[in-house]
Amino acid sequence: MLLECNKLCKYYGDKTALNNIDLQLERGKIIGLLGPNGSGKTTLIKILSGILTPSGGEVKISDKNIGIETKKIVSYLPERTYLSDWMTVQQTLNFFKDFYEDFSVETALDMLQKLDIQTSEKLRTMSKGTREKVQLILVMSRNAELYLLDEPIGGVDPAARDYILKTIISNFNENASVIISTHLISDVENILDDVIFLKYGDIVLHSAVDEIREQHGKSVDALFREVFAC
Amino acid sequence: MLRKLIKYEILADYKKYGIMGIAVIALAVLALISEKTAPPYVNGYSNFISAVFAMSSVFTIFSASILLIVLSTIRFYKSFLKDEGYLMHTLPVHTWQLIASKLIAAYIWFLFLLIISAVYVTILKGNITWITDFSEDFIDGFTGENDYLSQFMMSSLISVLLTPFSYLAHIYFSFALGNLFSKNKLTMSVVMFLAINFAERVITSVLLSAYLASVKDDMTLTAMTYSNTLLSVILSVIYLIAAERIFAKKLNLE
Repeated sequence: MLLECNKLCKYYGDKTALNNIDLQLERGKIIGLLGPNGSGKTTLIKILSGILTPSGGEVKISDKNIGIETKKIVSYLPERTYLSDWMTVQQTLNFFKDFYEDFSVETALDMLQKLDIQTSEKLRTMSKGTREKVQLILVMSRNAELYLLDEPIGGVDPAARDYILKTIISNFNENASVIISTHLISDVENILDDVIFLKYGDIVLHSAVDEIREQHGKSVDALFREVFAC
Repeated sequence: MLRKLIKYEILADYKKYGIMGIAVIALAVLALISEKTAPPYVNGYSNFISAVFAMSSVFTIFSASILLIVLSTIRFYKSFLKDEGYLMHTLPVHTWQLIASKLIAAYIWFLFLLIISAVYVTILKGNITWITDFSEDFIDGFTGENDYLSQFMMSSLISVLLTPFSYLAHIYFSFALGNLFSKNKLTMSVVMFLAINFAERVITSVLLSAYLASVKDDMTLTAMTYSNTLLSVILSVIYLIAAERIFAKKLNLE
């Protein structure tokens, strides 16, 4: 098992963000983490990446508690720009190469070339969308075991979305899994193997996409609209 | 890993400190030119300029120290607790390495600013002999027969060198405590900074009063400086360890 959460909970003051979640994820899958705003998607991803401490419960990635060993095998893309703006693209490549043993400079350079991004360019001079593309390239150029992508296509144009989704599919190995949190369900639906629906910090559905289509006769997008109808 | 972290800390700030260094030296050169080219018939002009330069030397060194603390604090806040923290805290490194890299980088800049200050004074004086004079006076202080003076100079030197360490440890610990609150983390960090400062002053006063009552009169000032420095070091180490533990075990990035 790649990921195991037992009775995982997170509270912000008196507000419950995650409510005793039990979750097991296997390797070799692309999993959509879906839910409305405030459902706990980002909180779960932040706990898995190690930047948020759970209020209770247990989390293991590859049988390891969250810490320095899991950070070696988890590749995390947050929903915000986390690269220092004084850096050039080349310096971000050097940075990732310096700290992550599984980072492939060749893969990153290849993707940058395809998106026509110059390595000499400074992040400060780039548009928000281009910076997000650079971040995604860096994250997907790691040979990680678990990729955590928080809203990876939220800030980019529809043309770039296709390229990003192709990048995600083609850059993870069968030993790894990808968790994608997004609101743009119709855009990602075709690449997902499994989906998890989160509602007010509870998992209300964890199923294979094919099962949803067979059992409900609906797309994931249509089921999502039904489950989370206001 | 620590060396790599320090490298990127230096790379992040070298332009700011570089510009500051160039500006300070340029100011010194301009001041020197102004003094040398002053018309001789302007009565008292030269003395006035010398006094202004002497004051500006003190002001420059003082400003550089303040700027170091301010820039180091901003750097820590941005790269530890804001957006860049999402990258720093997901690196496969220990929390103590992250904190140590920032502290060591701050000390490298502290040394840089001391060197810049020395260059500034050298330019204003127009010669380098002040360094040898100063060094001789300093060595005389240590090796001379006046035991009181040598000890006082030594304790003062240690105190000056440890000032950035004490301030930064205090600031890091305040940020760590602020991080424990679910809301208004920055505001709570400032409140914690003030609260720690107040508590530290109370503890220091009580302990030093008790200690000084037990030492000989002629050693009181030196003993006070040493004791104050030692207490400051102990508290700073406690702050750093506590900050490391909090960030390692209770990190909650907004």
